[in-house]
Amino acid sequence: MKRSLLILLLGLFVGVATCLGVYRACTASHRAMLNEAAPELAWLKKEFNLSDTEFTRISELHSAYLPQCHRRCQIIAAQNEKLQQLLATNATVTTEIESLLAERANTRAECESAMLKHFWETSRAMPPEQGKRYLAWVKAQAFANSEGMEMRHHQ
Amino acid sequence: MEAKSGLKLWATLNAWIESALPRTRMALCYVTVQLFLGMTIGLWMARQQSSRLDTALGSRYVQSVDPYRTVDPNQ
Repeated sequence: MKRSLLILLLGLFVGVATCLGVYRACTASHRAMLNEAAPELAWLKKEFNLSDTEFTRISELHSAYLPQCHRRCQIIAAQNEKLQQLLATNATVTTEIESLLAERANTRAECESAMLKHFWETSRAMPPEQGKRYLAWVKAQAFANSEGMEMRHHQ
Repeated sequence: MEAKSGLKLWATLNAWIESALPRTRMALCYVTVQLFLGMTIGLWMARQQSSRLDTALGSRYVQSVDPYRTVDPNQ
């Protein structure tokens, strides 16, 4: 009985140890990515097979784009706040509200246009095939949900 | 009645383990099966986790460049 129990436990140990070992080995690259300073960029490098030079260029483009994006976000946040104040003090759509809505729409359009420019610039820094794949993926991610509102009045 | 049959099954299994496992060939077979089982489950779990992380990191990249992208509460 002792020998049987020992073999039974040894088998279980081998199974569990192999499972953990294989799991750790196969997820090592992903765990390493999560420890990077910018995991999302590390993922981009892996997903689109970028060389170190291409990755450096794309990281530069990304770092240059983010402050501009942040500035536009701040403008939109300020416009939203102003709109909330106007909506709280007015019972009808005033000319001031109308002009603020137009201004806000303009900022949003500017924001989307800058984002698209960034996507194209990033895709050009990749090998042609990967750039094409990146563009198709990122455009679907960024603009796929914009159809929601239009679909509501489709019927 | 069910408890009795369960007990009988356990006794049979116990007797089989006691008689079969100490045989070298059977023990090797058992450990090999455990090894393959561990490998298969480990690979399956790793594939699931990698795919989850790929989706999450891809989403994180889009969120970093697209201010209109809402944060997925599942991530």
